[in-house]
Amino acid sequence: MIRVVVLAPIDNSLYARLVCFRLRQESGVQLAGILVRSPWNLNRIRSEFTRDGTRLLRKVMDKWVRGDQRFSDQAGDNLMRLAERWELPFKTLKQLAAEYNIPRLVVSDHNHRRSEEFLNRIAPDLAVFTGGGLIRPNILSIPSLGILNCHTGILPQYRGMDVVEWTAAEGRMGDVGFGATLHLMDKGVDTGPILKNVGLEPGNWKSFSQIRAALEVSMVEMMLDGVRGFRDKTITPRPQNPNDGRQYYVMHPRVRAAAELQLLRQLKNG
Amino acid sequence: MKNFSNFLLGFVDRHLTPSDVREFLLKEYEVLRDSAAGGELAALTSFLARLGWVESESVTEEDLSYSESDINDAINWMERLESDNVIKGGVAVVGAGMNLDILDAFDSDMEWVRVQAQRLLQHVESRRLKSLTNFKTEINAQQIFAERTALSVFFSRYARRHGDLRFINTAFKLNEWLLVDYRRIQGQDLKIRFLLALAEQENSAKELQA
Repeated sequence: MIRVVVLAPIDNSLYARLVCFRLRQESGVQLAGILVRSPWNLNRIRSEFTRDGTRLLRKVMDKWVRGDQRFSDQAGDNLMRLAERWELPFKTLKQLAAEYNIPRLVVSDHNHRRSEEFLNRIAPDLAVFTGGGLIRPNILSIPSLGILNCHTGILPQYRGMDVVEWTAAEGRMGDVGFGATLHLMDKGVDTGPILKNVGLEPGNWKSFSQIRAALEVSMVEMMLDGVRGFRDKTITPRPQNPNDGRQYYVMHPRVRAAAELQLLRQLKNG
Repeated sequence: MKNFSNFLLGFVDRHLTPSDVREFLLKEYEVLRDSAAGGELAALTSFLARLGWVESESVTEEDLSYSESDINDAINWMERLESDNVIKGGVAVVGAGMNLDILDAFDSDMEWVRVQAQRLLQHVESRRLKSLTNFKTEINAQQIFAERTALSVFFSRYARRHGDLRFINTAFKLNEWLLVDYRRIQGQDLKIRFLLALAEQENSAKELQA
């Protein structure tokens, strides 16, 4: 039996709910705890606003105000459709935790001392990170096998922010391609040992949001595969060479516009 | 709900478009042209000509190259640095933008310059509005503005020389933040330097199709 804790960015995170729901059904896996980040932390809001600017407002609108409805106007597969297929009955992690009697803690920050105490008490073998900022060494060191993260880009080439868009902007859709990478977290940004890369099949992608939506669906499966791999001891972390990739940052709208053009060009050329 | 949120976001999610930059540059150029003189104004004129925005002799890549004495000064600056890095713990060395640009123009394969460029990029992206505000040597607000402008020029040129869009991406942001200070800054030389930084940005954006 492998003991797993899920770290979630917000209580209504659909990604986290799907991962928790499925982990609960896996044999040989015990969902031992859920750690949820509270949205109400002024310091974090300030620092995210400094980093993301007004994009933060879009994130707030999407995640808090629109919730699952943000998927409703997306073509193709997405997390909401996956939730429908899986008949996910829970609207929040709070409901899920109450139904299955799983310890759940809401903290202002995943790195908080209370998170440390919670995790030490549970002593998980593995943690699954579904979002919520950088994780500091005090938390990284607790799960004996590490913390799993799924990144929405191909590692080691594309680390950091907006990497779907950066892949297009740099014209790497053909050789690197869009995809997601399952890796263990370390103190760097997306620099931890790689467990698995999954590339998206070249498709008729019309927008970055459509690509992201498709990637999010893969990421749920990848997370579950990662946990199974650790449970069955069939997965081997492969360290990254820092020089094999670059770190990318929040994309300016002008570069984004150029990336969109590249995507359209690719679509036109097949 | 979606339309309402898009309306709200459109209202606050402002950035400078290429036409905003062009309009601003030409307007400020007209204002300064009548009152300023000297090499930097001439440089700005030829840069705007290169962009096809004014009629004049346009600047060439050769015009932008550095003299042997500039290169020697930059090498001396590098050798005299007390630390291995131009930025450490958020504290920068004065002259980093200008000297790194000279060194990179001299030899674009210098590993040390590449590492320093990455460190500065990370610093600006993580500290954003608060980036490049602490220097090893005490300098005033005007000098800080000049340092940040020089870094913006370095980023734009580095992006062009190395075909690295991440640097023009950060130059776009840095120049938008500098524009806020531009309104308060005194001295035509500094103003022209910022306009030159914007022209450099547009020149690189044109080449990189960003």
